[in-house]
Amino acid sequence: MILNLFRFFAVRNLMSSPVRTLLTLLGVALGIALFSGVSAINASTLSSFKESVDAVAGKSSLTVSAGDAGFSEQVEEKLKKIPGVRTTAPMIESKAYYRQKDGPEAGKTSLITVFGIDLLKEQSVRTYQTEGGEVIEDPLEFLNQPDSIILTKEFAKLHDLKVNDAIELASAAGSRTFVVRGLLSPTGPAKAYGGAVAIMDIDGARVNFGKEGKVDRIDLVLQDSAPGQPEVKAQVAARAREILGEGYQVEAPETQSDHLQHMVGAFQGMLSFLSALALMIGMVLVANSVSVAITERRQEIGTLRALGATRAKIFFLILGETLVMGSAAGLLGALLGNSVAHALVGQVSQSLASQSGMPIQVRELHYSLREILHAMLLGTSVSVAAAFWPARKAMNIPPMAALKARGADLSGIIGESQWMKVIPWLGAAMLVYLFVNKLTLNLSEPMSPALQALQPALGVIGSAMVAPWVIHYTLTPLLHLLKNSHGSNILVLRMALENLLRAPSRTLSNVLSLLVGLMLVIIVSVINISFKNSVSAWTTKAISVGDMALSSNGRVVAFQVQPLHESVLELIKKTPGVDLSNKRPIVVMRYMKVNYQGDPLVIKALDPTSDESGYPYIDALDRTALEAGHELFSDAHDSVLISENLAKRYHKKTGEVLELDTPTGRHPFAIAATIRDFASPNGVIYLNRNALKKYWKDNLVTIFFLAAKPGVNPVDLQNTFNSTLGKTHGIVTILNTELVGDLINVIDQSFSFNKAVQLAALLVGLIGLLNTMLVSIFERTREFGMLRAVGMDRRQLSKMVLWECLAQGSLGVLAAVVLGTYLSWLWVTVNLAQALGWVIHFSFPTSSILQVFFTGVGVALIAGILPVLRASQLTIRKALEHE
Amino acid sequence: MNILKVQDIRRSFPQPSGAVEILKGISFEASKGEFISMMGPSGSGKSTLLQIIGGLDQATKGSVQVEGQAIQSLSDQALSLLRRRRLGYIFQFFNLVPTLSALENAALPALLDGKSLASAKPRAMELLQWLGVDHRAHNRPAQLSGGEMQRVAIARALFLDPPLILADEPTGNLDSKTGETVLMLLQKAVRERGHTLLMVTHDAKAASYGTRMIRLEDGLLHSDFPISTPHGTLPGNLQ
Repeated sequence: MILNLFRFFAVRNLMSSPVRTLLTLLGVALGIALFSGVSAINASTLSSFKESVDAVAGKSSLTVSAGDAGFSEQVEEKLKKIPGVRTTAPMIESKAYYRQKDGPEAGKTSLITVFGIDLLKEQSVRTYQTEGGEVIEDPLEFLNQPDSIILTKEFAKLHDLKVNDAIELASAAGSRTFVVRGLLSPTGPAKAYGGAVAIMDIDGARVNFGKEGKVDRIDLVLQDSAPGQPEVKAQVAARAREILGEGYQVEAPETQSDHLQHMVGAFQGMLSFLSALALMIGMVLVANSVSVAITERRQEIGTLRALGATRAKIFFLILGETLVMGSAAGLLGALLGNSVAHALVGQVSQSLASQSGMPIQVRELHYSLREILHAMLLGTSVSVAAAFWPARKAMNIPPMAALKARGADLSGIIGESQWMKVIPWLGAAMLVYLFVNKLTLNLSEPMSPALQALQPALGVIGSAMVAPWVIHYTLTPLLHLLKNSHGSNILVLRMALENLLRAPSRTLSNVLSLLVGLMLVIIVSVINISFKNSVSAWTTKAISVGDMALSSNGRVVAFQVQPLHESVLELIKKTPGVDLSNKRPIVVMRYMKVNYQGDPLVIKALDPTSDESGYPYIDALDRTALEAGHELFSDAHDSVLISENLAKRYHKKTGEVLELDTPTGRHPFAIAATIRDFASPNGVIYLNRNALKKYWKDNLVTIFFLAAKPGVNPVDLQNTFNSTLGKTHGIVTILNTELVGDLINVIDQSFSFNKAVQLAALLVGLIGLLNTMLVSIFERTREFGMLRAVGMDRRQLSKMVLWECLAQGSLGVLAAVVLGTYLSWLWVTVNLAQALGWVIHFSFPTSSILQVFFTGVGVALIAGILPVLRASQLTIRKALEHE
Repeated sequence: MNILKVQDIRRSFPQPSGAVEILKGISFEASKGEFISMMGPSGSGKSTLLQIIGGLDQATKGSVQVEGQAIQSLSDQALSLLRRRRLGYIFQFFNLVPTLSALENAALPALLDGKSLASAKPRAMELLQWLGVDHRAHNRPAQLSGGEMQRVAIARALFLDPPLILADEPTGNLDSKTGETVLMLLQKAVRERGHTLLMVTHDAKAASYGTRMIRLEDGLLHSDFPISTPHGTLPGNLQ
């Protein structure tokens, strides 16, 4: 019987309302597409990075490294002697920047990872094949020509390069020309980082990248690769740590991928969360659509019940219909998800690369049959889950009540139940809990991952649950005001608003469809604006010591540049127009990543400057900048300044000691002050560069900040640098204003893909509103006919429907502004601080509130066009006959 | 004085098998103060004729004049105004606006005309009192009984004192006792206020409240005769 019911009623019902079925299907499909697309991007990004790490690791089981500064090449000898180590392979791994000279992309900078390798030792770890399929076996030619570089075929093709072409890469001595000696086929390390890799001789790399006498990593191939290897690996790793001491990381390749996951986890989590919200809007749409379908078919269901269909059969009939629609939506969503993934993958991987400072390129997007099946299953599950409650309502329709439906107010079926009274209280409790949690939260205490994930979800669900109050407490006083006004327009407006209160569930689902999408716009905008304001205010202060920054070619704003030899400072000093006074000194900075308690931290090592400067680049929080700077550069003892996020994360404070692991062992540093710095979510340490030279044996400089002499226009000085050091050494000069602009661009870029998510969420909201408005018109056909019969003209009827749409749009805007601002305040001050470790100041999103207002009202207007047309074109006779 | 003149009204509906003619040329006139009961079997075309007279539907051929004005030539806007100001409509299912109170429902034609509720209130209260539902003035339709709803609907129909009132099965959804009260109120409206009432009904007893009977059969006017002794006496409180 159930199959017959399904065949005769469920399928035919779906087909009988093609517009509604199509709109619902499209809404759910879009939600699924976003969710599946984003999941595929996240998974592909991590698996691409893992593949890269594995490709570079080759046959090695362990890798020894010590941060950006590298470590002495003599370490290799110690490692070789460890029992169980078969062979070792040292490597220089440098992030270089290639600047396209000609062609349509001239001037564009591309990151390329250059591996400096010892070919004699490499063969036992990694294999490199040239274009012709030959393995590079003759290292002599390679070694004899220090300007030799081998690119991958992929990179060469992308940048239109051939064998024997000359390319310029940033080196420690400035820009340097290399000759392409060969092209690698995509096997082994050539597959890493999307093919943006190059190899050169290790000695050449040392000279070129300022790593004389050093290596960046040593890969260990162990003796036993068969049974018992885990034990050997563990023993070798333990022994290596013992011999090398603190300051070195001895890791298996898989651990390196875990680091990336740790770094980008918060970002990927945010992305997943936003896409899950789009899916949630899709669920609201299904619940809404099924509810109105049941309302329309109340008599049909009543008849079936009267003819002997059991409650369970009605329940499964409704779920069955949703199952068909959900499967179709899942399939469509799966196919669209592939397009979404392809459209967004570039932006997302670029954002991840700029955040992590790692060369992340997705070579292959994994969107296979498995992902399609997942999406289909997801579509079916969320649709059925969303239809569960309406289906329960349908099965409880008593046969007689349903059969008496003619002429009765049909909104009862989706009308207010006892739950509607309880739900806002529950929602309010969730929001109050978040507020109390915010007040009592100790940011230095790490929040459990479960709670981190739960809080945003609680915020959104709580907001959705209090939405009935927003509707009620906005409409009721408004109606009270309107009662004392007169005029046919006011009457029409009043009737429109009364209609919204009359069917609270329908109004709620319309408002919710918009609310979630608009809240997304506000939350993302607030995070973006707060982030931008906090970071740009801090950056402006930090670089105020000078007028411009000089570095080698690359992404200066993220410090992703090849560091330079400190000798470049002398060349800079000789340039006329540079202020060499103590008041505005040249600030010399080495930026590098180090490991602290398993987390990547950033060190900013600075050359001592005189107290006369006042150290404006130090944004000290618990002391004056002068005191902090004075102590940092004091010769009395080794000092550091630590960022507030580091202080909170690791429970450190001024006056205490911070022990840092360096390639020369563990060293204590007195904490001279706590400062504000946004360079790393884990924390930033300011160090005297002399200490860096002493303990890390690193003499390189990442960036020079300097000022123009009084009377010299900074732009003129920039031009001077461009025509001198720019030409001879490839040095890039960026004015402070440009630097802040670049920074804002980077932040905007990180948020740009969110636009797509917001757009999709709004589209789903638009579809939801259009769907329910159309159904609402259908439901009230008879009422409209009556109004027309007693003298309401078409224009008045159209206005009434339009007012309903606009009022729902405005309610969506109001709820989104109030709840979205509240939630984003919580997220900026609590969740972001917890997830990223930064203390960001909340900025009120004035511009995005305007944007949300126009978007919400615009969406409501668009959604209203068709219903208004339908309502105005009603034939009174037919409308009065409508049941 | 002729309030209504119906001339050779024809109405056909297109069907896949060819046009079906529901009204095949109906003509009659109604004077001020007449209570016409229109009867006929299902499908005889009585509701269609009422809708054409009320400007809710267009005749395929023929003309309808209300107070000498031909309604076929009126624009949609003018028809809306005619329905609002010169016609009163009473439905079987009351069709009150659920979001408005009884008072506001009664005053709806004036409110649609842009009048304030304050200015419409005395008239609405007078009618509600006259119909015996003034104590329910501030209740919404959902809080009223069927008879009360229909009395509010009558108040709405009478509000702007239209010369012609059209009623489509006004007692069809009421129990017999309440239905009788409603019919007597309609009768009272015709007698005391001089309206012309055209009522479609299936029920011979309801029809007997009228002063004239028109019977349709197969889309044709089968008979048209006066009722010599109209039925009904209102309960004391409503007299």
